[in-house]
Amino acid sequence: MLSIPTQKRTAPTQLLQLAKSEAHNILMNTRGVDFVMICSSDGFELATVSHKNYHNTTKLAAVSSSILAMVTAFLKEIQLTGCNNITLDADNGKAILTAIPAVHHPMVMVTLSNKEVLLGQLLYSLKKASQIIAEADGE
Amino acid sequence: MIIQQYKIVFAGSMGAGKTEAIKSLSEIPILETEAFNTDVQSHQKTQTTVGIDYGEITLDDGIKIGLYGTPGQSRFDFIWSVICEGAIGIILLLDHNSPNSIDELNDYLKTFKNYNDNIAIGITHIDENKESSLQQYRNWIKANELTYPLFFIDAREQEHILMMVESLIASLEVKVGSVPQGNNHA
Amino acid sequence: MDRHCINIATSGLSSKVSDELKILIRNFISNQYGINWVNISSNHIDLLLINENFFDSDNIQNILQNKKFPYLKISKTPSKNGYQIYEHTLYLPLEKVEPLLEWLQKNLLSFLNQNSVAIVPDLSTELLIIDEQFIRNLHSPENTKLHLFDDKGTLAIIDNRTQIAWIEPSRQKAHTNMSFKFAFAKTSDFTKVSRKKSYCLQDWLWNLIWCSKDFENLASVDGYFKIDYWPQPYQKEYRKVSLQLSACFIQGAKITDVAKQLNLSIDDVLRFVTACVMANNGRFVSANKCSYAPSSHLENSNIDNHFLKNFIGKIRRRFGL
Repeated sequence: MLSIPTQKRTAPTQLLQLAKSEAHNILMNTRGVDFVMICSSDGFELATVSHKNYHNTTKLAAVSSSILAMVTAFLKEIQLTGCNNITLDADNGKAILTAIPAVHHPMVMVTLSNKEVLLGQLLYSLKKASQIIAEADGE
Repeated sequence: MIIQQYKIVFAGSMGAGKTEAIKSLSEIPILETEAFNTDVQSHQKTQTTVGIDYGEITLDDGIKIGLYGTPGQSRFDFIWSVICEGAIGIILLLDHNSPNSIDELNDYLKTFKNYNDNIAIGITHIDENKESSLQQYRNWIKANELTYPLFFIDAREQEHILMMVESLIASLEVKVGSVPQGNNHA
Repeated sequence: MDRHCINIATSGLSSKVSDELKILIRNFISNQYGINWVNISSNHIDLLLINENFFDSDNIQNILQNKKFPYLKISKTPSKNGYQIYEHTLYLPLEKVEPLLEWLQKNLLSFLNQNSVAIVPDLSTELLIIDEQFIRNLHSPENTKLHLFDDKGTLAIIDNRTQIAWIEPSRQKAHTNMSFKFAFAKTSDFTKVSRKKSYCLQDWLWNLIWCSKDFENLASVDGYFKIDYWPQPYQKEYRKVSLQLSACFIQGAKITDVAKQLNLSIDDVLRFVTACVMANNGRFVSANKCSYAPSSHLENSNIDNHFLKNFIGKIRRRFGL
């Protein structure tokens, strides 16, 4: 099995810039979205764009990757496939964790919004952004 | 002491062998929560646990004991306190090959003894680093007047992990004054 | 005090082959004689095991001419006629051990029984008492490399600086007795041990003494003892009792209390303490330095404790512990 050389484990700058730009598009074009963060699937913050200040983004990255990993394991147990995001619906807002299944540099996108966000539109945008980033990594 | 949930927690440094230890004991294929490791400075391995690994053993009357593996890196410390609550005990694994193994031992013990005081320590990968002495760990235990069992093990060997589990049990037995059957001669 | 020992030399053998043969021969002879594993240049040799490819060299032939002793050539290719041993050659792999043992009986042991066996004088002519001074010297960091032996021969070479032990491979699951001694290791002693695997010195020594039922106990029954760390038991057979004893004595405990609480014979508890003393793990303390308190009958009947005991019993049964 071909293993990735260790110096290439972290996502290259170009890919990160693309991811950040996609995150920025979502932040600017979807009303209600306050915060979008891109992290590595093992819980490191890679890029953040936001309207509001969230003080502990490092912790958030770790927690998000954990949740997504556990949910992925759960889905495997119940044999559901093709599920790439989790939506958490609270009284005062929403959180969406989206897995970006990039082949060489799998990532997680964390989106925080207010309660009024148009969820359908947001989920569609997140799905598209995830596809773009994943395809760029495959090249 | 009341055990709330039947579980044994596996904690310790990255790459020490927590996931392997659970695999060696579990009756079921373990639920792994691994992700692609980008932190090569800490460890070269390609996958690392980021959630909670889960394995299981069943006792003779059907009671199940969960074997919970935690991620080693401190950025996942929010998991540790939750998982350790009410556990039978914690098996703390440390990699002898790590340049800071004594510091790591100190840090992990300081953190985990707040969650649960029934801890057994396993030092792994001892064959990979013949330069550093093994006695440093025992000297450290003695200097700090600690009472935790500390053994040198291979996390893939079921008998070694059973020895760790048995030391947790022995500590509990002695604590509650259990008089085991069949102890007439050794 | 003298001991009857035979000197067996090996030459040109891989450590795997050498270890395998040593274990076999040790098991066969150990009740009758002690064994010293020596090299080809030793003054006194009772048996030579040699790689067949080296046999014809001038050096070996000279030695064999001058000193008559039985030899066995070791060959890695199976014999053409299917024999395991033929004339003076042993053909590997060893499928049956009986031919080798018969050969040893005929060519070595019966020969030895007829003649006087080489008597190797001990390093000290006085009876060495195993006391505090003995143990202090055994573990002194100034005494870096020591050769440990008893009336059956070499046990190990230990290094007090790095705290490791190299074992004589045929005495891996060893036990010893009061003939246990040590001396500074000579260069020739190093050929008697296997340097392939090193053992943690304290653990190896603890296991050796624990397994030695003929070793006199060094503890007094009415004493209190506290260990510095839990010794690591090597065998599953005594793991349970060793861990339970450790759980008590790590807190500092009265020897009789522990025996009573764990339902063990006082001899077993004393043997544990003796093994710890020999391994330089712990010391005798006063009662006020001990925090182990055997639980009372009242505590034993507490509901939570009762539940816990049942639960622990189930775990033990599940794992066969």
